[in-house]
Amino acid sequence: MARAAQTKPQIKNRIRIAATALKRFPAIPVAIILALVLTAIFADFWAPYSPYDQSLPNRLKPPFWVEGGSTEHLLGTDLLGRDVLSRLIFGARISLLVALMGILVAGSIGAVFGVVSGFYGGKVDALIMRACDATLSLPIILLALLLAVIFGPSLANLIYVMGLVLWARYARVVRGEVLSWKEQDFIAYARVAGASPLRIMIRHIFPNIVNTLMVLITFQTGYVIILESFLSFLGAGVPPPTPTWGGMVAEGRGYIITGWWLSVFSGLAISLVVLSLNLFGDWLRDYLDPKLRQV
Amino acid sequence: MIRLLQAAATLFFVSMLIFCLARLTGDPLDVMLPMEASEEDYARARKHLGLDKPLPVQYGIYVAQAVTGDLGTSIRAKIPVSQLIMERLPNSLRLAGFSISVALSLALVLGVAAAVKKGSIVDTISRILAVSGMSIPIFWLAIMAILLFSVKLRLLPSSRAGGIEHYILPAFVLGWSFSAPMMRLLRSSMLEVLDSEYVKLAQIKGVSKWWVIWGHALRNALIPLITFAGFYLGLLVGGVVVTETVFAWPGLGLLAYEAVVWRDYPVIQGVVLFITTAVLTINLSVDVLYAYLDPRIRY
Repeated sequence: MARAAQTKPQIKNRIRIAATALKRFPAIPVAIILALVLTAIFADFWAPYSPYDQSLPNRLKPPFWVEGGSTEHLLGTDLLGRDVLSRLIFGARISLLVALMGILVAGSIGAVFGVVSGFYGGKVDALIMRACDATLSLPIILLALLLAVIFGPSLANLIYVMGLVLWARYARVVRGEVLSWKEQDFIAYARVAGASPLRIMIRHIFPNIVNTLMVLITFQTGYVIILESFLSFLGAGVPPPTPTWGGMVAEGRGYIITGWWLSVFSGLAISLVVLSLNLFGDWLRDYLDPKLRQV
Repeated sequence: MIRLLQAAATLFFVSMLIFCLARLTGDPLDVMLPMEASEEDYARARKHLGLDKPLPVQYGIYVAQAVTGDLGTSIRAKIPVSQLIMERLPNSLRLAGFSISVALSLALVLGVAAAVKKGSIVDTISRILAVSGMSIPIFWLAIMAILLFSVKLRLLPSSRAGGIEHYILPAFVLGWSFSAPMMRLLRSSMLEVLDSEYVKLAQIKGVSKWWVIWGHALRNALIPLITFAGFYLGLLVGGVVVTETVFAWPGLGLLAYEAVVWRDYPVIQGVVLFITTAVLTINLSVDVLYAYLDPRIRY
């Protein structure tokens, strides 16, 4: 009896919390992120032109609402007469690809090192944490620039660079989580029951840190997109003629007087996507893991 | 003491990493020597620059020199790297100083106001400023600022260092994006402090509202900001590098960028090592200061 009386308000409370979370659901940011994903996947379908087709007579045409522009090229054309809208659409593909793959690499390295570091402690822990400190204290942008120049600019290299630069954040967070879970009773039970360390790490600890990882990944996706665009902006990212948002901002940099649309739209695209990711990340953090709020 | 050893270990790690990375960037002679240079020319240049010795020996020489403040000689400019760094450092520091002032004032005023008037229009504005500051890439913001203030309105210079008007654009661009995370952190810690017993006590005692906020509450709300000082420092260094490359600001960031482009090993090594050492030293001092200020913390 007493138990039933206790759980009823608890259930009600849970429903109320879920309802408020849903009410705050960031619909517009999520719509933008979905639109980005769809744009990237079906780029061939949406883009009115090929992003590589040059047409010198049509170079530097302004967007359609500006005098001299036409609805043939909605957002105008660039220096080589390529359609800006089409390049933006294909650029979404690169941004998303680099972000997802880069995070996959960084997250995997970081998660493995973090779990090992937190679980075993001692010398292994000290060594991994020093490597983390070293990576975190390096100026990330300089390091990424240096690595990008060493390996030569290419899509695959850019992804490895992201992984090498960003793994330390994951390792730190995962280690902290593992340390707090390690002392829980159910881990001791698992150990007594004869589970191997590997099994404990994968089956018992990892599921508990997924939430934290998800939140971190959402925020980092935005950061990786910014980092990628900056490297492309400096010419250390994906080499031309592949369309990238950062590269488009760079191409337009010398033409801000005669062709402002070259860098304005690509920069807007970056900002909008990162903004949406940040807003979604805020919500996700409050929803999944309120204790992360301070960070 | 343990912290000191840790910092030293980190520094060793970093110097090793930078050394290896710099050597991997490709042969600087390819950039330096003319196309028609012969094999002997290459050999002579290599010997002259000390690039013919085995790598561990090169690393040993490098560390021994670095400890005495000698960071080698720029392959391109033919002057000591330390001299190059010292020439550029004041520019970077000035830019960083201006940006920190802008960022701190923005964060203090808007962060505190947002917490005090939670849910008001000020709160919304500060939230918009913070979220957009975190989302807009600095290099694009910088270009847009140049487009608006230098090209369209012709109010401010677009690049290079110079008089006070040269500082306004870079300092505000960097300051805005730098203040964003601080604003959020200050708002949440301020909210927490305003809810605490001693603030309520001060209010009951009849302390003026103004003094409760700026005297009692703010002082404690600032503690988390110091905790994250290392994080902000990293952010600032990155921001300075980006801002300098867009505004052609003759500081350390631009120096490093040019060095990467020219594959000027000693300069890249020197700048990255210098910046990392500086960041580590500052972090260490903050930790020590923090432990001193707050006796509950011991390392």
